[in-house]
Amino acid sequence: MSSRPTRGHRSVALAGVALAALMPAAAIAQSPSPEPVPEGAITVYSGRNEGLVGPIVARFTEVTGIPAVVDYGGTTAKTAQILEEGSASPADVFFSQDAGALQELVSAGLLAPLADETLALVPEGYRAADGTWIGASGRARVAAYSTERLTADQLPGSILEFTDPAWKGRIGWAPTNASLLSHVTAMRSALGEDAARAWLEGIKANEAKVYEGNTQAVEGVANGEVDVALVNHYYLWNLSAAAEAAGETFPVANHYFDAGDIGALVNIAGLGILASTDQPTEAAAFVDFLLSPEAQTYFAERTHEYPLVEGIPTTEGLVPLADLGAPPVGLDQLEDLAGTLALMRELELID
Amino acid sequence: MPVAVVCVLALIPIAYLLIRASGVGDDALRLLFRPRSVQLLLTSVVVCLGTATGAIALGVPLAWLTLRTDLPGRRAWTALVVAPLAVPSYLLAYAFVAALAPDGPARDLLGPVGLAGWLPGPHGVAGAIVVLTLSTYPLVLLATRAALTRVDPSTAEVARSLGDGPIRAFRNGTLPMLLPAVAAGALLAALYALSDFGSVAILRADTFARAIASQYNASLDRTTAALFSLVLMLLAFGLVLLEWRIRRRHAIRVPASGRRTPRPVVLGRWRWPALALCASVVLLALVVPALTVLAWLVRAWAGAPGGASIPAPVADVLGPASASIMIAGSAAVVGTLLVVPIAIVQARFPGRLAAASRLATSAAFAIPGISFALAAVFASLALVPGLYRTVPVLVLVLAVRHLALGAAPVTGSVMLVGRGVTDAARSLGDGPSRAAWRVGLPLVRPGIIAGAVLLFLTILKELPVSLFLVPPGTRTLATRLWTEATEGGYVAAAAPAAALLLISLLSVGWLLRSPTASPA
Repeated sequence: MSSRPTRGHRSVALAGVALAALMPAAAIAQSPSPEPVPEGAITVYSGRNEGLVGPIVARFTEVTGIPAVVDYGGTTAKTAQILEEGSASPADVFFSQDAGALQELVSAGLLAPLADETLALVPEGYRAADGTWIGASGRARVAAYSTERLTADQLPGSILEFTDPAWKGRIGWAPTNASLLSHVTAMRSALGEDAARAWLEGIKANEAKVYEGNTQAVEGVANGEVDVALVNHYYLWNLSAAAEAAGETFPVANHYFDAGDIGALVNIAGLGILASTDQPTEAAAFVDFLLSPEAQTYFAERTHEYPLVEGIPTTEGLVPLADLGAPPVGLDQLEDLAGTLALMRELELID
Repeated sequence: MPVAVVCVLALIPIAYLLIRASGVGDDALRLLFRPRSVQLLLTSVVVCLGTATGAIALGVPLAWLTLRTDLPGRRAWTALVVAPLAVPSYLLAYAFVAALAPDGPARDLLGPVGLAGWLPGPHGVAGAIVVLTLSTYPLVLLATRAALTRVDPSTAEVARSLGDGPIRAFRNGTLPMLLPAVAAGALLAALYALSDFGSVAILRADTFARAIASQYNASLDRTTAALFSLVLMLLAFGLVLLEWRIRRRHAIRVPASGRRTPRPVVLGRWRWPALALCASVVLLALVVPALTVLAWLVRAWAGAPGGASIPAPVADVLGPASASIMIAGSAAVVGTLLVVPIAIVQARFPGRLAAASRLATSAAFAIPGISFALAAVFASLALVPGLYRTVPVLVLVLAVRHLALGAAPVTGSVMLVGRGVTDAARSLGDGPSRAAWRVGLPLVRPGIIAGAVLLFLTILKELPVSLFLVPPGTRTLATRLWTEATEGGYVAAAAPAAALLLISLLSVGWLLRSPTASPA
């Protein structure tokens, strides 16, 4: 091509380029959102993933006729976002992985109290005493262990025994994980500052391997990096289902600590309604739906968490919640996260 | 004027961090000045310099091999070595951890040959440098490529005719002219390594960015995290100044070459090591993550209830895929439009404005993603509350975040256009803008295209900003992939990951077919 572009050609080309550049801009201006949002929809910020939450939200809309859009992300990321947004938050409901995150929003005055009838659905201890958030499902702290290298009777009854040098180099944990931090806060509150510090020092001396999250820690047990991981109970099902689908067995089992031991803490995934919501009725309907028998059964079967509403059966092979004898530490007492962080930073367990 | 506006946009996150950090107490300061912080900072420096070095070591030879030699299958290799740009670094990290696990496939494969024990573990600083190098070398490659297409091959040919071998001729005849582009690409690799959180977290390398992410993660401690982010930003400024000095020392104004197609260098027996280099890079940076995704897909297929009901996940991926393409495409266009004036100022008018624009765009790129995203939340609520979490704001924020990325190849190619060329056009009666349009544009076009691709592919996999700013209810491939994979839902992550890789490969392949991008 050696023909010189004429002036006419050039202006056509110029117009073409300009048009091409303007088209996406016009498209953007036309549609504020690539996926259209239905009229009157409530917005749910979810710290839990779509594979889990998506189907039950679809059921909510089917049953109640209220459309909902869900914004997925990590629990802490979404909490940070709500804190940044303040009363301008588009969120109506927050579905959190952890009680501590909900408690952060309470401290910032961003959650509205729930109705008494709603609160009455869940036993005390699994909801905020001031009624600002409610647990939707329970998660027990356990030691996930390798069934290839350990038998159940080799595991200690108390989590405190993991400081024994016999466990050196064999423990995995995720010290930045919200559930673990809540667990340490519970230790400080139940056993006192010195005992909690001694335990952390012992775990550190045992060179516990640091994982980014619980999933990675349990995978570390499965692939031989560590023998036990201090995690929540339900990761096992997800990972073993994936392994079984691939025709493999997943060589990990859960060990529950003795009833009453501080190791046997039960945390929650729960819900709060934003004080700034302009759809309080619809938001309340969403919370109520997640506490309905249908949703509770769904969580029990899908995630193998503990349903918190009475009369819903737990998944097969799970120690009943009542038998766990969870230690008497209220989840809304786990407020001193700052103290836990300071302690763990001092011991250089987290940054 | 447009440059100043862009600078102000890029400075918003810094302003936010200063506002947040101004509330800092003694506790946070003590945290910053303890030995552990110094250690974290040193790790960050090591990871970032290691990554930059690695990216140069891979990017420059690959650019030269795929553009200026008779490498067999050159076209295909070009697409294959550019494609890893679109592989999210956290996906690559996942893949390495899975492959190199004590009972992972890599050890199974090498076990019979007795090499299993020789394989390193994936974790730690070395692992992070390897993964980040493999994720960022395309930045150096593309920048180098864009410059190389405009470097007059005659110097190298003269060197060869005087008896130099191909490598020597490249080193003496071509490399000095490429240095500005190489330095610009390496700076981007370094900045990326500095700010990346996902892969270093998975590989358990304790960098400064990981500490910042932990602060948000564990404690929602926005004040300390802001303070730490500012420190990281100062480090980024240091890198920018370093690159600036390298560039000034080696700035060579090259007379623009005509449209002459250079004769490809005959590799001879050197083509075997060359092929081995290309193949191993593609194996590690593309095949390993692709196989990992494939393994997830197989599991998803096998685990689908009621047999092979694959259409459901496919349909599930269409929405996020079109959203991703639309958002990344728009942001790439907007970004490119913003980048051109910056590049012209940086290349043609070195001075305060050029320096300021360079620092501002680099800072926007080097601030850890979560800090930048929260800054964007804050700024958009404060400035345009009605547009919070709409596509226009998202697109603008994504474009501003990646300006440094798009500017690098464009600046590189603008620098290669000698002032004499446009002056000549003007002396023949063209006005300044007409001269730029008629003579300048064709010469910088490869750089602009490279910049636009860089923006598209990078924004396609972008995570933190999208997680915070996509309109509620909209899902992108990257956010789907990340939220599922962190929860251990590899099965659910399979389809979005596969779609992400596919779109990236197709767009790279399409791009390299267009004659302007590969003039050979």
